[in-house]
Amino acid sequence: MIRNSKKLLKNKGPKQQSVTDQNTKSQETLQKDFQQNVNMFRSIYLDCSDVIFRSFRIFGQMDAMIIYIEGLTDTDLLDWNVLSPLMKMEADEAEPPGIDWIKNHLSISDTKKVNLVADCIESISAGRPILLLEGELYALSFGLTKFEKRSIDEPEAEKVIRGPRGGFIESLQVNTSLLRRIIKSPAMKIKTMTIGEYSKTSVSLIYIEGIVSPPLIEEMESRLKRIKIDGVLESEYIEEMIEDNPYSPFPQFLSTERPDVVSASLLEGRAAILTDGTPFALIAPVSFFTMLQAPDDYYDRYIIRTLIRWLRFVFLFAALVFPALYVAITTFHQEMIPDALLISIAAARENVPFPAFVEVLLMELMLEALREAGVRLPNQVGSAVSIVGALVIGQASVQAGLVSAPMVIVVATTGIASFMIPRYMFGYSIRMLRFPLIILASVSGLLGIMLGILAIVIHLSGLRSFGAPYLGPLAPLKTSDLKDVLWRAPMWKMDTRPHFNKETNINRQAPHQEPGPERGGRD
Amino acid sequence: MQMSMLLYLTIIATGIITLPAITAKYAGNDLWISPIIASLAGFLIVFIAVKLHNLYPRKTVMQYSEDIIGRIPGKVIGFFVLFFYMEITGNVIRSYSEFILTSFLFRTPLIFVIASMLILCAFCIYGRLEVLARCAQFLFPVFILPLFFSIAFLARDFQFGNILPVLENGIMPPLKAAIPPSGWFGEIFVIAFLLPYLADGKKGMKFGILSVLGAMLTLMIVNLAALFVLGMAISNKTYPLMNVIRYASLGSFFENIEAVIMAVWIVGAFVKISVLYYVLTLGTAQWLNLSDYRPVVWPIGILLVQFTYWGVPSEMALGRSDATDFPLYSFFIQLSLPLFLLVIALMRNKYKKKKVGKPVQT
Amino acid sequence: MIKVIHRTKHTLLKNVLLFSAIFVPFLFVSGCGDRIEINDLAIVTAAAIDKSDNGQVELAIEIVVPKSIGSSQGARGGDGGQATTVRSKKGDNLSDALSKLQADLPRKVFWGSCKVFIFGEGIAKDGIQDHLDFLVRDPLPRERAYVFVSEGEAKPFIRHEVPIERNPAEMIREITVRGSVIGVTLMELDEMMANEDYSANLPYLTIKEEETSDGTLSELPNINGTAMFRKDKMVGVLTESTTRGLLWLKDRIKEATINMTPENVTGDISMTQIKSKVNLTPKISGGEWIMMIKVKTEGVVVQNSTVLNLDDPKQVKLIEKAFGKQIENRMRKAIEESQGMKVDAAHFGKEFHRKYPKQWKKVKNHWEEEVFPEVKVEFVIDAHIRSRGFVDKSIRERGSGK
Repeated sequence: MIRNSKKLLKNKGPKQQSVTDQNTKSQETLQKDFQQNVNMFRSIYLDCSDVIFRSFRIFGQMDAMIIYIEGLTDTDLLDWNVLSPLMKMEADEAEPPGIDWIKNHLSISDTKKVNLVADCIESISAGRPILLLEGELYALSFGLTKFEKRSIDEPEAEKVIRGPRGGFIESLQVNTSLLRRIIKSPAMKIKTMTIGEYSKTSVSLIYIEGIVSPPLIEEMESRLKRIKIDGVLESEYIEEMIEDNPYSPFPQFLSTERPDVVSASLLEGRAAILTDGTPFALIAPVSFFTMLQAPDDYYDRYIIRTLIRWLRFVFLFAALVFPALYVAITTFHQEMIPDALLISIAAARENVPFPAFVEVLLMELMLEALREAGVRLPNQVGSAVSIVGALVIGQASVQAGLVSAPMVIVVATTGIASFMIPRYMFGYSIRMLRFPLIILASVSGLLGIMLGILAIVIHLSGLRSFGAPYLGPLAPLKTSDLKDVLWRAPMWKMDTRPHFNKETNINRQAPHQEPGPERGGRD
Repeated sequence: MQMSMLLYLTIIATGIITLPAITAKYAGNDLWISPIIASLAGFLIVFIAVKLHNLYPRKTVMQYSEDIIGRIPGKVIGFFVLFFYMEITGNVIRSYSEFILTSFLFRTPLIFVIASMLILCAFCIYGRLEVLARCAQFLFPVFILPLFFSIAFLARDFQFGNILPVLENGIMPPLKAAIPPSGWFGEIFVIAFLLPYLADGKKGMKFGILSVLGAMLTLMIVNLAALFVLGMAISNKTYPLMNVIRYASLGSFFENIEAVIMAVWIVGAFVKISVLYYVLTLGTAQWLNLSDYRPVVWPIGILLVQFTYWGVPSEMALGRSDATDFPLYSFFIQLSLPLFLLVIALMRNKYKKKKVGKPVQT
Repeated sequence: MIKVIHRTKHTLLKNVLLFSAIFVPFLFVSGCGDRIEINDLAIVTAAAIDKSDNGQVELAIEIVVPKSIGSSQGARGGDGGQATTVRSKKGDNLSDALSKLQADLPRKVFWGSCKVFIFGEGIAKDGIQDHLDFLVRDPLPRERAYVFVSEGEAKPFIRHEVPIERNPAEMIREITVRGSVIGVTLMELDEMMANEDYSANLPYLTIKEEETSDGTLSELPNINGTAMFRKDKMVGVLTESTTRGLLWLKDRIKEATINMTPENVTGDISMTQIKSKVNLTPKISGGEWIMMIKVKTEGVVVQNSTVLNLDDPKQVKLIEKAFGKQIENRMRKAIEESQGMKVDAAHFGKEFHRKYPKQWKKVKNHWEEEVFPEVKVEFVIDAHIRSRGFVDKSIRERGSGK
């Protein structure tokens, strides 16, 4: 292992070199000489057939060139608002034609002057056409971006019964706009940076100033800036590069497709990271219990939602230990089974050739395989697979005497239980941890399960998500934060924000807002 | 708050399983009085430890014992304290594993049970006190809720008359019976190792007393529950609480809920062993003047495994030493020694005060 | 600070790897000793302990045969065949007999769901203490298992085929749980044995012949009375009706229908007791030990074949008086019989001990032999009729009235 890491270090050398090369190049500016500039861009975009170079003359005398990428730029607007006025303009104006004059005479809202070659390239890649002018050190970049994107749909993975239906899409601009439409205050800051040597992915760090604790933002920024990677294709790339404990099976970010969830988190003093090209936002810091809060919890009556939350806790536990408990109890602690049940289990198991441990493992693996297959397959086939899997295999294997019927019930219950977890990333961790527990249970019964659970608790106690203890607010205990963990307090009770970091701007709303007859509302 | 949960679990964890039987042996049906008397020792020790800590803030016993009586005697006392903790930790681990073996896994090798627990504890300690404290806090409800729920389920089988006659043979039997539990309460002395690491040092006294109080109430409730259910048969049971919980029945379907007690027991033992282990490693590191205690975690773990075997030959011997040797031993190390240190420290301070003319105490 | 944490995790990981390398194989090698699959268990539902020749004991256990209960193919499978089988062996003591039994069985004996222990009369008379020791010392037998004494040998009791319930053990247990007899659990028995204030008593099983649907006679186990113990030896049996009195005394009666004929009336009237509270108050006055028994009970009329009108408060009083008298008679009979046997079945000793610890100490050693039989009883009975059902006058009365 040590040797491996050394190799890695060696590999790092040249790579870093290339990054610095890029950096020196990026300091280059445009030249006075128009032809030189054009040649330079042509050489940069050599063999890039999607890059269009359109040369023309302004006032019939000044050489100019527009560079853009086909499909990223709105050519209609470009024709009407840039090319046509510039080409048709007469040279009889008093002022000499120059970049500022052109800038002032084009009816385009977003126009920027750029000087660095790197900025030009970035602009072109982002779909903003570049106008190069003869004898100018600056080029103009127009905000005429237009590319195909998906419409805003309901998030597939996070459906709610009552609540906003819009989900993030792959475009960062649209995503930030979705957020801005919810939180209109200028206190919501969006800091954007580019990550990825080749992909040049825009990554935005979003937070609300005055609510979030400043050190958290500093820490997040510095961690983001530390990333040196060739491309960022999904938010997971970012997540794995900046999380606190890379070896933990638990996700240390909340990834969500829902702008309302992100906004709620921002208002709680968390920060969000949006990545261009992914419809998922990363939220940090989070805790174990954040993973168990569903958006529905806040869009329905709190009493019902509290009960459902408890149900979720119970099933979380079931998803984790139920099969392990079954193994432990049926192979080590039979005396704990009620008599009648014991006898029926014994009867059911009479013809089963496998020990309970193998039986459970077999069925659990089958379940996981079915689930994975269901994800891969197209929708129609997917449901067919799950029907085949659940009904046919379950029924057939029981009838063939390969597994016992109680076992099928156990495994099915676990399956359902793991779907109760609102964050499927977190659900993955739980599903994964189930297997070591089953093995422990088969080795030393309940003792093994307890030891396994203790090990998980120790791990969780040591885990932090950007400085916030993962088990908070339960350990360390913050009584006032329990209002949104063990139950869901009514809105008029949620007076304070969770204090996972520094206690900045702790009050969420005016206190004592409990509605009632004496406050009016009833005649 | 974290600390008081930690301490509470440290005292109570193993106590609830064996103590009812030990106290019942001496006190008969007055066994519930004994924890009250025994807790006095706990309060006294908390008082001493906090006083000492106030005199020497941010220092543990190992460090201030050297300050008080000089380097060499301090080291000697430190050695005694360490040796003591080594032995009781060994004892605790042994009684934990014996319980598991006699009531759940009959043929599993002892070393397996011991080693698995110790490794977990070692990992926990490796994450520093913070992790230990958080674990304790998270596990606290896991420990306390099942215990009280199962006792609540038992309420149907309670025969409250079993408590009568109160003090049939005078106050002496419960007084005598109070000696073993006071040994358990003596374990609160680990507070002396934890106080320096408390965020809010001033609350040490409050939390210490809180945990002793909690432990006292729990022991009392458990003793009473055992008495109400088992009556006089309690004194010849090895693990009365186990029998009691096994008896619990909920709607005649959830009958055999001893899994609950196993969970409670493992959780409690885990916290207790971790705390003792932590104290031990921390003490050793300070005794050897190491800057970090982590290097000694594993060596001490291995030593502890040895001690679990050396200390006790069998489960019966363990029961005996729990009842007789341990309390005295614990008294000597955890009560008399600190008391002695406190007296000397106070005398020295007075002397210093006279000499310098201004108070040293903060 | 965060950097420091990072470093810890690295070392942690290394340790985790190291230890899993050492520990995981170790896990698989050891610790498996206790593993046993359910289909390798011989599930015992009842055990019968009998006296055998030359001081040996015979242990018979009733084992479930899962195969005949219903195979995994579903409910169709299980037709017929006895669901349980009985095996027995003799040995020097229980554990010896058990180990011999185990040697002959292909599966491991599993005590966890054994809910019925039956001692044969012979062994009960010799003393059950030694056998009980095995049952409470071993962690597997349940504390909530019921203990019985049988008339004659115990083994036949777990042999019988029973209708309705699955096996004799279940039948005996269900009757006990329902509460018309005093069920004594293993733990209660243990407590009774450990307590020096009083003696134990156990339900007494007899065989009853009953006509089955196809007209043949079949023998069914039946709980019928109470076996009285002094220390650990059985000394006598209370009959069923006396047992009811004892149940009243112990305040353990759950549901009882009492039949009585009030004074100066023909016909009888039946009441179901629905609520009762019994208080024992000991009193020592002038060297006389007196037990005051206060009963508060409420009943519902279930059948009335007398001419009494339940609308008339006076007549209701009459019935209530008769109701109370009936209860008193039952209790008195139970006390007299147990005094005759010199066995403190109702645990008067406990009450005296609690109220008069000093006087108790003096008589402690000869309580059952000398003091208990001399204890006087006084009754204060408050019987009350709560409801009369759906009709007020009896049908006979209505018919004759018009």
